[in-house]
Amino acid sequence: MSKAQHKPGLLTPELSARLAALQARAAEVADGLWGGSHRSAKQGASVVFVERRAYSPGDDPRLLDWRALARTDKPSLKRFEEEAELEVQLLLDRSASMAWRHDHHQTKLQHGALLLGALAFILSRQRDRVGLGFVDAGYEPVLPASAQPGQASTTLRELAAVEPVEGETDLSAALLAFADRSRRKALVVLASDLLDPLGIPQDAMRVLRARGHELRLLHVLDPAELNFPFDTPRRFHGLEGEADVEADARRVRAAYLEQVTRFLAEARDATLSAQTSYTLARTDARPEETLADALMQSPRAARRRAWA
Amino acid sequence: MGLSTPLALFGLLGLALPILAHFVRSRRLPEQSFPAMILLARADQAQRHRSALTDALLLLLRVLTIVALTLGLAGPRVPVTGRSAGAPEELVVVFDDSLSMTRDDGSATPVERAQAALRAELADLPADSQVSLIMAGEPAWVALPAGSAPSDVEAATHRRSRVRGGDFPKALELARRELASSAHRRRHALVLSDMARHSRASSVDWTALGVPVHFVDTAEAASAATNRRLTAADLTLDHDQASIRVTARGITTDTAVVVSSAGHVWTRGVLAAGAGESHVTLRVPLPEATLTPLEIALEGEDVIAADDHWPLWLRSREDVALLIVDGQPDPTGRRGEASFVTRALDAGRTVGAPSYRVVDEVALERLSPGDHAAVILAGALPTRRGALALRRFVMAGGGLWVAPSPQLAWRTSNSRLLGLLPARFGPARSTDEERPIVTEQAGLRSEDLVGTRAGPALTLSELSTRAHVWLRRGGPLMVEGPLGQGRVLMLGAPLGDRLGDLPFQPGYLPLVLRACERLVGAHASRGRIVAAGEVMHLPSEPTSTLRVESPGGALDGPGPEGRFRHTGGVGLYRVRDDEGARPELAFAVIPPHGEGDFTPGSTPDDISLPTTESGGAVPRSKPLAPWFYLFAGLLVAAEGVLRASRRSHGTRSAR
Repeated sequence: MSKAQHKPGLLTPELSARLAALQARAAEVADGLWGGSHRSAKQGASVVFVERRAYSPGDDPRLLDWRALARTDKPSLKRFEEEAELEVQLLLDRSASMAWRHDHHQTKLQHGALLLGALAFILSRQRDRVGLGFVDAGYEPVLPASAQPGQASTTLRELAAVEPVEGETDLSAALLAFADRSRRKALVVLASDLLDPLGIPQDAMRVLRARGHELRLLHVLDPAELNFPFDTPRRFHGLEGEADVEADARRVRAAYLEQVTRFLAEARDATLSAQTSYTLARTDARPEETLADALMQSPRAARRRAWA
Repeated sequence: MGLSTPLALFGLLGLALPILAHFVRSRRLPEQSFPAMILLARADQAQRHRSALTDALLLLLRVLTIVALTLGLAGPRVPVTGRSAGAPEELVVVFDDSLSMTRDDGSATPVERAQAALRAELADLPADSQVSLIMAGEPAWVALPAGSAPSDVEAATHRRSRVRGGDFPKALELARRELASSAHRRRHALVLSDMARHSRASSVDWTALGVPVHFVDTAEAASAATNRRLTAADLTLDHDQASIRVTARGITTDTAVVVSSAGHVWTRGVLAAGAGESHVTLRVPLPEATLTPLEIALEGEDVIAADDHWPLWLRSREDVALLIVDGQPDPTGRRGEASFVTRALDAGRTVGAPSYRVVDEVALERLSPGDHAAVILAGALPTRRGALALRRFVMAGGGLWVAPSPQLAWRTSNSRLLGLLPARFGPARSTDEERPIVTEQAGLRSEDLVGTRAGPALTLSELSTRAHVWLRRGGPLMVEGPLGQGRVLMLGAPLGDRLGDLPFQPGYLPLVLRACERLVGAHASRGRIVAAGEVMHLPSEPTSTLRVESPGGALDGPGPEGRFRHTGGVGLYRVRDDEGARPELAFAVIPPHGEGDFTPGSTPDDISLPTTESGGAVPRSKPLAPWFYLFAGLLVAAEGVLRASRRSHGTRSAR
């Protein structure tokens, strides 16, 4: 596991410029969401519906709404205010594969940082506790969850300064490490391309879920990874030490697209089985739309989809 | 299989190109970073597995294409076996279309068998061969010249004359001429004939063609049916009737013979069966008309109908065409010029020889123009008055033939006949030659002097006209000159046994007959007879508008010098001009001599010549290059289809 290549508190001119750009863009995204174009966005991740929710196996029986049970003969829980205080952990995949772009202005890392930075803006306005961590071959906590006023800025600074880490990705180890270190249940938002040689960390996601965490996946991919726009013979070389591949792009395209389709389906299935919400975050898509889609997908809906 | 350009096989070295391209892939490729290498690696593996077979097929197609093109450029050829594989040939076909070839005994005629044999021969010819066709009926003619296509031959064999005798000597000459103009080195001849004895096909020197000759006997021995045929009809006029002595051959059963005119049967008779000739004499009354057509016909049908009929003109008065002045009367009638002339005329009676009368020299004094057609001074020297009368006679259109005797006083003849003769007699010269030379411009032929020998002859000098017969070392032997409306013939040698031995060798008989006919000219055509296919001589007057009406009704004019050739139909021919009918010129065409006799002759052995380098078979071969090019084209098309299929598979979208 590599250390972050940023130095908190040391703002180089480049870093200041990146931070300013990220702040401005994240604020813009947050405003766009907060502006009411996505009703559910007002609820935010930590805004709890004051409502009853049905009892699910594993819930604390002490939280049962006995009156509702007597009335409806159906077990339900009151959503107490302490759920609105559920902390949010933002995890950013900073593996080398995230530092790639084809024709788009942003790398996947930058786009992921933008999405998480916008979320940090939104959550800080709601005085939710927001934490930040990086994943690559392992997990590195960056900012403990806090609702302090400067938490968003600090989060943005860290996101602006993040650099990709060389070496292979091991998301599974990273998520498991996160799960071991987290004492409190949290809403975990992971921005990653899931390009892990060990595969999609389905088991790790289940572990997170079993430990009470809510995981929302932002699957960050460049359009070129989805469409494979190349049409001439090339020598393709990976960013994480993979073996080179010499191929006629035109001849291999159909087979590659089949692999992409299968990969996306596996990712959806894995998140589904882990009761995790899944959102494809194309780097050429508007971040507001991506986050709106992500916020609309509630964990409850994810459970329903899983049980269905 | 052989190769016409084996050096082209070096093109097979080009096989290295697709093979190297297939296996050597150390190309300098552009670099491309890509994060989803996991997915790309899987895709590449799947694609390689799928395209391995396609790549192998493409390599195979490219290799085969290069091989096919290289072999095509090398010019492969395979030999073609059989005669049809040989070089083009020139075939000259001598087709006997004489009357005997048309005999119909219920099976195929010899003509049909000849056509079948010809078809088989043509089918076996190599490609691009050419054919010429000689029809051997008299007179022989070229139906298709050298260089004609084989496909035109069979149709040409159907353009036969109606009734003809055989003329193989002339056919041989024509065949030689056509072979000489052939463009191909390989030449041979085919002779199709029933090889009947009368055709004398085996007596012709076919080796003179200088090419291999194949003979096909189109007659079948089993179908040697006997043919009845009329061979002569001698007409003799009495005071009030005409006697016709009919001669026939092949009469195996008593056969009726009918004499009719314009459908009216005048009389009948019976020819008794017998071997050899059969005779019957029929008598008919003399008609009032000057000229009456008669037809003598055998009743019933046989294999050839044309020789069962004999046409004859019957004239009310038998005009004497020739007046023979005998200068050496011989009581025995055996010697002297006159006797030889009369014997020649008698022998030619059946073929239309002019009638004659023999008188002495004094009778000439009473001669008037128009009494006769011509006068023959057979060793005679007329008196002065007779010479004057003779001159008037000739000037008015009569003919004169001066035939000297061995005792002729040539000086006296010159003076007595001054103004008459186209040349002057000179001292006799000693000659002894066979077969003097004949200039064939006066209707005389070299065949007319077969078997002759010229002895001492008077010199003919101061010629004012052309000579018809020449001695090789002695100058002219027979000359002719015009005088007024008539013409004068002079013979430098006696007609006696110096020019032939009568009656054993009719050496000069044809000469005498034709000379008499020429003399008689317009006057001597009465009662003339020619065999079908022969030429009838008519007057060749400059202002002649003569037209000949054939038995079928066709009207044709004579050719140059009055030669009428359209004698293909047996029957009676009339002559007319702008002023009307010319009965004195009417003539009859009888069946060809001997054609009715089917006695088989000998079929000559095929003539083979040694195969020389220039005339030998040139082995032929078929080129295979087009097939290789076609195969290469198909391979290229297949490669295109395969590449298009691979390309379309690569551009499919997964979504």
